[in-house]
Amino acid sequence: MKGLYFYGMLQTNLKNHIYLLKFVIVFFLIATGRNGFSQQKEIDSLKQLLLQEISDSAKVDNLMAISRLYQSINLDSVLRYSKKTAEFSESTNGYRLAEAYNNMGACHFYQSSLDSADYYYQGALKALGTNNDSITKSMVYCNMALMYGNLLDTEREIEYYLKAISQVEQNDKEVCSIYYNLSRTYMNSGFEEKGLQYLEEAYKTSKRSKTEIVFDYATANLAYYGLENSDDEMFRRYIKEIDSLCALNGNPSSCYSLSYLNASYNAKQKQFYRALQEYQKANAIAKEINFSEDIMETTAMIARMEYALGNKVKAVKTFAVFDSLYQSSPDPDLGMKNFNLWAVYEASLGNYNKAYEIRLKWEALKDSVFAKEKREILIDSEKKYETEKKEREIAEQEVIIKEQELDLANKQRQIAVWGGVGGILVLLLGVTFWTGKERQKRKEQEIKHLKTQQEVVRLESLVAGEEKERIRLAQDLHDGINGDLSVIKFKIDGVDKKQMSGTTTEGLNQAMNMLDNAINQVRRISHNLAPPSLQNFNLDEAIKQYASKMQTVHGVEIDFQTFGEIPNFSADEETALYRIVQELLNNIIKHAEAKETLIQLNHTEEHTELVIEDDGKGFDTKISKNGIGLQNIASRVAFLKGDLHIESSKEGSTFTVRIPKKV
Amino acid sequence: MEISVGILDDHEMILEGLATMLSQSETIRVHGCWTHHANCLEDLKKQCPNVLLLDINLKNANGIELCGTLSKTYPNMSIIAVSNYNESSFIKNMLRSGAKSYLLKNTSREELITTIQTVYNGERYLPRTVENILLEDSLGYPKLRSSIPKLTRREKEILIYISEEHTNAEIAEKLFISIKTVESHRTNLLSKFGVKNTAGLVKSAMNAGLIS
Repeated sequence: MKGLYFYGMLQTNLKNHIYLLKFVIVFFLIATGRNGFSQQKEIDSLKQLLLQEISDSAKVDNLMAISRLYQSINLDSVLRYSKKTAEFSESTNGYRLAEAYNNMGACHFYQSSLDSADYYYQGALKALGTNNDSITKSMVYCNMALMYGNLLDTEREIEYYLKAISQVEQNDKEVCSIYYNLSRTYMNSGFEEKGLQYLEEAYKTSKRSKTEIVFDYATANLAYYGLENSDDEMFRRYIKEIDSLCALNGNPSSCYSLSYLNASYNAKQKQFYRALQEYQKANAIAKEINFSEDIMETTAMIARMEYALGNKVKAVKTFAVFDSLYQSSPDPDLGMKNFNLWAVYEASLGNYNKAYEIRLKWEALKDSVFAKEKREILIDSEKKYETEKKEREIAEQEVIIKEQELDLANKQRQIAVWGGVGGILVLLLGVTFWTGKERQKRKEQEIKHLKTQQEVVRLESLVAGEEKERIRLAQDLHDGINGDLSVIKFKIDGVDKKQMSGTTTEGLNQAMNMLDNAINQVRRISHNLAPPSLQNFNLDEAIKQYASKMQTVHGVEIDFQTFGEIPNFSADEETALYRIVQELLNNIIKHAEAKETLIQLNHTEEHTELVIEDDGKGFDTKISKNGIGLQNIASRVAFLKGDLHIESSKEGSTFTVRIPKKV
Repeated sequence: MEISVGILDDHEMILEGLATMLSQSETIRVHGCWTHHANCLEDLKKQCPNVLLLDINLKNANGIELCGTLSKTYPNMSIIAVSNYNESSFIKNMLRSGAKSYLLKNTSREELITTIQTVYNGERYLPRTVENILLEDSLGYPKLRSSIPKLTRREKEILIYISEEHTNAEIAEKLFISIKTVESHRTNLLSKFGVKNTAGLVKSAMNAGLIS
């Protein structure tokens, strides 16, 4: 059984809401619930055992057990024994080597030597190799996620949690705590929706697997989320569960959550006296469990309630208690949330010097919070993961298709066998054959459907990824390089030319002309990559601009007409349509030798129809069908779930793209 | 008379570059520089310059919308759009929103100063490069360049069937398309020829020599 190493921690999210989220950390392999004395005894007896003649594997098991038992006593000893385990395992059979490395990594992590931690985690992964020990693998990933979280590398934190999840997705007991940790990461970075989603997963899986601690935390957080978002129904649903947890098992952590939540509820209802009592209860329980963060949190809340009740002096005194707790174990989030308030309270009593002093403390804390940066990184990793998810979906669908095809092949074989059966079965045969055919048809349709679905999923990620990249590049060029080039031009322009010779001035003017050229080129490239009209206005405007530009540059006649109202296309869809026009127009200009080209966009109740016609020399549709240009068009048409029709003769070509209206 | 100029651009180096260029002119005084529109709005309330150089591509605001609001709130302040976008849609939209001029970011000092001096007097002014963009745009899209509208091949087909007095249903059947599609083609034809009904359509098409 894998254990959970955890400590309570109140986290705030960006909105400054208090979520009851606590750290749940997956750590060593076995939980230790015994007290220090019996553990010491057990360690001694295990050490005795080491002196005897036992097999290598048994020795590894033994060393591992010792290191585990030290977990709640002394981290250095854990590290020492983990090291011994690793050394012994390395020199003999590599048995449980990955676990030993993982434990060493975790020890280093807790001693804040993150580089060493990383080194051993990588070692653990290497030791696992192709080994299918998914539980150990997931634990290593999870520990690495924690490490990245500590380094504020949220992108990788999430990536590794997801990796950990993928290892043990079917195993509720293992996966629930990872879901919980991941939800915490999301919540703290301001992604409430994602956070909530994983919190619910944690709740479900921990409930099914009866993993008490995770279930306790998840439920409490869900209730708190309901409370914060004024979802009464949600709050009540989950607090009921906590109530029964506290009442049935007397689990102190559940009882703490219950009191805390009740207090928050009352505070929200402006029943400050009741809230105060409940916070005091929670405070007492927190002291009993000895979770410093919980004690601090409840102390601060008590101070707030006192203030709300008009007991300003009491409030300030309670905050002084909070401060002394804070000094012994500083928690920046809690500090951020409370020092500011404390300063206000002091000021309301006229203690301005004190208030100022506290306020300075708060300001210093504020500066050290990287919230915004964290959030930006997250958006990126989100996209990346979505793509991965889609790829996984594709793989799954491929399997389904394979199965169905196999199924179909069997069916066909069956039909053939049936065909061989003689006389009496003629009637029966007829019937069976008919139903078989029907079923075969249905299956074929299903396969076709699945195949298109798979194609669309792939295209979506492909198209979205490509467009995202183009926009990023275009922005870098447009805002970055072109901005700088303009500044360079300004600088040269600003040089005092009166004191220069004629040749120098001429040289300067040439340089400025060259800069103008460069700026125009960068602008053209950037606008080709991501047309600004499309981002700022709409599809019609963007096509119009493009057609106009092509007409001027290439001296061909291009008409653009549009009818009806543009339906609600997403940005991706508009871009796809724009790219189709761009590609086709490019092809026409390059190859068709046309005098006139007509672009017509027709939005009707049934569909959007794009027609591009030229009076050029035409082409052989059979040969050119697989050219890269046409393939790009075809994939975008598929992305739009439309169809492409090409007609070509000596009089010219007609390209028709029809996109059915979304229901 | 000295002209006071304010500059709003989220690219700090551009801001600096523009300000340096202007500082060399004797008739122009830089009144304020802002990288954030909120600060700019705040300062304008206190004192408003004669001319404002306004970037379109702002980090947290839409330059076009901002231009509209500012030109309404401060009708005496002349706004010059300064942007890297050279597409006519941006130019037109800025002018429509009350900008007095539009400059590309690689403008020269001379052009910048001429523009400021001209718009200060309340006149509109566009440098040649920008004027050309608008000109090309409107030359490319005359409302009525010829009396014969452009038809697609399919539209021509349908036009012929219509002139042969076929109903929508009949045409749909002949061309293997839905009646609704035929209807939409017919409506488009009416709008392309600028006529109200089928009779008008046939008449105009005959005049244009598209059908006989």
